[in-house]
Amino acid sequence: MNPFVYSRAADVPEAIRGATGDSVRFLAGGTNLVDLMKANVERPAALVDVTRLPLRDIEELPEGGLRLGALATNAETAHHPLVEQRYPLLSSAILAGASPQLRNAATNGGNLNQRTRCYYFYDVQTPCNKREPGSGCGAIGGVNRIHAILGASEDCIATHPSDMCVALAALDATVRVSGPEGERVIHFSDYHRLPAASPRSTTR
Amino acid sequence: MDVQPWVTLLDLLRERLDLTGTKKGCDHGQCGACTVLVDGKRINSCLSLAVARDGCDVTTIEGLAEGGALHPMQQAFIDHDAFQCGYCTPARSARRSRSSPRAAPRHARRCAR
Repeated sequence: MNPFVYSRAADVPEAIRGATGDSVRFLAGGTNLVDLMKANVERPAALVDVTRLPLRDIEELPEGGLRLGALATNAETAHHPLVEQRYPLLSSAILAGASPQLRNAATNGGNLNQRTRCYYFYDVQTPCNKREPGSGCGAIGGVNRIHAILGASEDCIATHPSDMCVALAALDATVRVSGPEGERVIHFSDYHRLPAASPRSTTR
Repeated sequence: MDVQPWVTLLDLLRERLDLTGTKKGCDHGQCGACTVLVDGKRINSCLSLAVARDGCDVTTIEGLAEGGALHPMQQAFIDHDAFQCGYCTPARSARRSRSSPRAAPRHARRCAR
């Protein structure tokens, strides 16, 4: 793992201000990011720890539905009484993936933003347009049984690994994000990009 | 204790605190040999940066026994000769301990501060 600068954000605006440049990453559960850093796929210059921000609640919305905090863990979400009662599909999907140890650490925000498990994406010795734009795709002519049947492009056939996201898309969820220009709401099925010609960007 | 930010909780436990009961297996969150309890929940310590757990309660296999009395999960491993090679036994004991009769084992150590 490469050295990096670590800071802990005190609130959401501070976290947003800290995320300047391409080489800063938010750290939450770390179950995907730390793994990618060990594999040298991610080499951030700085991590902004957001784990202490008040984004852990799962709450009812006035118009019906639930808001799932970005920092609620996958386990807290899957086992939350309101999720179990109203959206058993979501509970089942979360519990179908990973392990109890991973689900206890992994957050909802991290689940949405995790990277593909494509072998070539993880292996820095091989070409991968998602990791290194323009280098090519090892998977198209290689080991690709786990890869896309629909939505692939000539540049990338990797899939997003999340079971939770499939359920959220089926449930017509929306994603509320904050950035330097304020908040916006993205329909779930628009949140992730197909690889197209620029597979490096996986979300909008 | 000063800890560099890229040190995982697993490496801190093993290399700095000499709590070597927690094992490094795959080091990628898949095998579970590095399982510890953080604030009572089992996680993979290999994928957790130690600095991010500052102030948390961390329980390792070294903290499961109460004085001379083994945790029921540890005793069960002995009673049923369940070790095989034994490498992952500490983690398997820790990960099951939460739902056992003594659900709140003594905390072995605190995180780095």
